[in-house]
Amino acid sequence: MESFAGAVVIFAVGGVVTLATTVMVIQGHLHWRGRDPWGEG
Amino acid sequence: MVISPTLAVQPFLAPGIAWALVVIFSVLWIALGVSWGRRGSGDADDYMLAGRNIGLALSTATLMASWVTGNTTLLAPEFGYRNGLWGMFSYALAGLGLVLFAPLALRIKTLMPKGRTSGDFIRLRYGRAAWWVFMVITATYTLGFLMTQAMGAGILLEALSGFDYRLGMVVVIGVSTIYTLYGGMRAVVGTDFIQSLLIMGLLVLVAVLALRQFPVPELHRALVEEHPERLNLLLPAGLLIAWNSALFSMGEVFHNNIWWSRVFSSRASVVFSSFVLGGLAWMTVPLVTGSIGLVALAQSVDLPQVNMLFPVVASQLLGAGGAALVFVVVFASLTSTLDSLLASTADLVAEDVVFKLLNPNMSDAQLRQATRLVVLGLGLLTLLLSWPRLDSLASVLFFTGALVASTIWPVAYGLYWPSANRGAAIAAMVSGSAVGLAAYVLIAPYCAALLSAAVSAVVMAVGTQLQPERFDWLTLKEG
Repeated sequence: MESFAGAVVIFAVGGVVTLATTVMVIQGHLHWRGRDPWGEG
Repeated sequence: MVISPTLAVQPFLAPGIAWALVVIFSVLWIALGVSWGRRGSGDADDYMLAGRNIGLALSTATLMASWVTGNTTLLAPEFGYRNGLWGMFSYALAGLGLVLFAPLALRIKTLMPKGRTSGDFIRLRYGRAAWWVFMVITATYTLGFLMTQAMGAGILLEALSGFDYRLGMVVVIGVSTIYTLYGGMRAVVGTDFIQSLLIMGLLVLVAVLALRQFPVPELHRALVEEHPERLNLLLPAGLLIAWNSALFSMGEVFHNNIWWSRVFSSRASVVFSSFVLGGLAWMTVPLVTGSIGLVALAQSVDLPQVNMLFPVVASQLLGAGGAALVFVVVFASLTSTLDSLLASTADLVAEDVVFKLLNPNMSDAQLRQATRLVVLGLGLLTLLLSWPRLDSLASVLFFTGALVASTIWPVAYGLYWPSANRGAAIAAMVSGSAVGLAAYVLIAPYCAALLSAAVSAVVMAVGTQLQPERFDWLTLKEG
């Protein structure tokens, strides 16, 4: 796993997961902004 | 000034000075904690959540102080030393967990005005079966965290001052337990505020003094000549660890009651800002301590124990005063993390297990008393588990990363989307943990959190798409 190619794969997977999580949280936050928090959304 | 290249592992502080510092700060924390604990209405909510009325300054400070552990002050320099710029950046990305939790904190505060714990949310949102899975994960993580902090206390105080391992551990656990026991969350938040100021102020002082003696251009020139690979952002070792801290920290913050209890303790108007500010303030700590690692690297310091890098450099650059500053920073870091862990875990056990599971008819006074007993029990349990010394603390922490990262998507998805499926949440936590643990053993420890989060995210999203639920948000109001 110390090879450059292996390191790039791990880096890319980590980046995708971090980005996806960030997008999911921001999307949820923006979705509920200004709406009834108890509503159906 | 050039640091001596060969250094033996020996205490950095004279025993008399170390004892004086321990006595002064122990008495201070206990006196302040007990005094602050006497304020307020005296009911269970006041003891567990400081009356749910913490303002911006206190809330930001307590988040930052709780997140600065013994690891932040001692492991971050090691990361900088071993992995150069990526080591510093990677460690600093752990602040992302707090920053990204800010929007979730706002949603939690809105949906659960009477909520007390993260366990409340999981039980009401996904049901009792998911709650059991969640409790196993959080109990494993919390015990691991408590043990690493307690053992870290013994090991660090021994290295810094020559104290016996068990003596240092007993002092730190004892002091944290006493003021948490008497003052509850109010004491934790108040002492955290002072501890955070101490940590930030002293770290900046050490860094400024260090960089005055070894200016940045000189540091850069030495690194370019002697260790150019540490400045290379394509260094394989750096790429491997780049996202680990970010995902691990999200798992820790999103699920653990330390952070949920801060949400419930703070005013609604400040929760978002305090998590963003706390996270950003925290990020400066590994950057500052990590830069100390680069100073040691540029100076070609021979370190018999790399995790002692920060005290070695501070005492070499700044003499006995530097060692005393490091001692105070480490002592404040350890007590501020342990008190938060004790208080929030006691809230979780008392509310979720003793009250909601075992004795739903419990009175408010009985709940408060149960919480105090759990604080005391946890302090004693931590002492017992940490009595035999283990020196591989980092591996214990990475192990728990496989578990906590599996909770990121179930928690966040369940807070925003009514369609989030309870079966998918359970499957996400179980499969994410299993794959993360397998990765820990079969690939490498730094892959554990990463693969756990990845699998959990896919299972949660796909499971919800296949069988969406219609969750009624009002259910969370009772929590």
